[in-house]
Amino acid sequence: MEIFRKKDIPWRIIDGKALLVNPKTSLLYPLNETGARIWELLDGKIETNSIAAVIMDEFDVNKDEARRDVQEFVNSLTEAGLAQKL
Amino acid sequence: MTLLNDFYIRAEKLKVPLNVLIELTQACNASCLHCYIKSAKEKFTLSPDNNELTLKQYKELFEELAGLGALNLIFTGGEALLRKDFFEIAFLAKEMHFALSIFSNGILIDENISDKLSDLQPVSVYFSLYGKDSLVHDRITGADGSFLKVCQAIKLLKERGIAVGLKTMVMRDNFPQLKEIYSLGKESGVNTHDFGEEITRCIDGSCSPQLAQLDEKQLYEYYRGNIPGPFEYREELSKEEAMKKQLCAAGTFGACISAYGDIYPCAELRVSLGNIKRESFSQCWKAKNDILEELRLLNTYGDLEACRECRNIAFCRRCPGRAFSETGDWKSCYPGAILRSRVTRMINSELEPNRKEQICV
Ligand code: SF4
Repeated sequence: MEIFRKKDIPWRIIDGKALLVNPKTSLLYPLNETGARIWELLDGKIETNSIAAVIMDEFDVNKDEARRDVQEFVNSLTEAGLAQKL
Repeated sequence: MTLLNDFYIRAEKLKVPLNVLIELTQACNASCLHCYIKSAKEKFTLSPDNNELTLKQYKELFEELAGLGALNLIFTGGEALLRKDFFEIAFLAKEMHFALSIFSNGILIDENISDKLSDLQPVSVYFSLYGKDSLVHDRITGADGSFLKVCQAIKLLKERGIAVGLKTMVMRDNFPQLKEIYSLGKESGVNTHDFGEEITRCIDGSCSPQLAQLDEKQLYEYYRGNIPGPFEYREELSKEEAMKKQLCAAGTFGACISAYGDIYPCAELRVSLGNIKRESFSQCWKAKNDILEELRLLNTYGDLEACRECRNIAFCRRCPGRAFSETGDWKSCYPGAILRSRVTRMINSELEPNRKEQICV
C-alpha cells in the first residue's frame, strides 16, 4: 500500500525529531525519531513494506515489529488527516 | 519530557528561528493611532515602494529559512494584503511547508480574497478589533468604514472554516467599551481574542503612539477588571524562583524581517542584525554579534543586573524591545515595566486571601 504525506501539511524535522501542523485544526503533532523518519519516507513512491525495511535497518527492530509499527503509525497519520492513501 | 518540549529544546540548542515575522510592506490603508511603523506625523502610502523585498528575494529567503528549520511564518505589514504579489509570496511559503499566519486590518478582504485565503489554508488570520462600533474603531484606525469591513472579513473567513483570531489593543479611546468588544468577539465565533495594553514607541523613536496608552488609574481598573478574564491571585514567588523566570525568546526562537530586508531579533527590538539584500539570513543569524550573543546567553530575570534586586521581579513581564526603544539597552529596566509590575503587585496583594484577617489582627 502506498501512502503519502499531504502536501499542504506544514512540517519540519530538527535534529531527528519532527513537528507537524494540521492547518485545519491548528493541532501540533510532534514525532519521535522513528516517526520523523517514516514521515520523511512517505513521499508516495515507497510502499509501507519498504519503509518498514528501512526502519528495521536503521532502528534495530525486527521485521514484524517494524511492519506493525509502520502500519499503526501510518494509520494514525491518515486518521489525523496528515497523510493519505494513493 | 513531552515530545513537543523535546522538539523545542533541540530547536533552541541549535538556534533554529522557529517563528519568523515578516513585515511584507510598510504601505497601509489605515493609520492607527498607536502604529509602531509610522508615527502620526508621517503619512502612510497605499502602494508598496520599490525598495521593498521582491518575490525573488522572498523565494531565496524562504528556502534558507526552511533549511534552517523555521516553521512558523507570520505575514504582517503595514497591511500585508496591499502587496499585489501577496498570494504569490504566500503560496511560495506554503509549498515549502511553512505554517502561515496573517495579521491584517481586514479592509481588503472580500469574497474573492477570502476564497484565495481558503486555498492557502493559513493556520490563522488575525484581525485588529479596536471598538464595538464604527465610531471608536474607525477613529482609532483612521480609516472610515474599517469597522464594517473587519466584521465582514471575520464572517467571510469563518464561513470558509478559516481560524480567526482577534487582537485588541486596549487604550484610552476604547477602554470604556471593553466589555462590548469582548462580547463582539465571542458572538463572532472567533477562535482566539488577545488583549494587550502596552504600546511601543514608533520605530523612528517617536513617542506619539504612546499618547493613546491607558493612564495609571485605567491600567489598574483594566487589570482588576474581568476582561478578558478576572485577575487571579497568585502566591508571590520567592526571590530565587522569580530570578529563574524566563525572559522572552527574541533572537533565539524568533526573528523579524522588515519590508526592506533588515533582520531584527523581534519586531519590537529594532537592532539590525544585517540585511538580506547584502548578506544571507544564515550569515547574520549565525554571525558573531554582541546583541545576539547576549540574548542567547541571558535567559532569566536573574541574569539581568537591573532586575536582580527589584522588589517587583515576581510580577514583571518585561519586554526587551520596549526596554531598548525607551532606554537604548534591552537589558535595562524601563518605566512601562516598573508601572505594570507595581500595579500587578498591588492588585495581587489586595486580593490576598488572608489579607482581611491580617488587617483585623
Ligand atoms: S520592573 Fe524593571 S527592574 Fe524590576 S523586574 Fe521589571 S524590568 Fe526588571
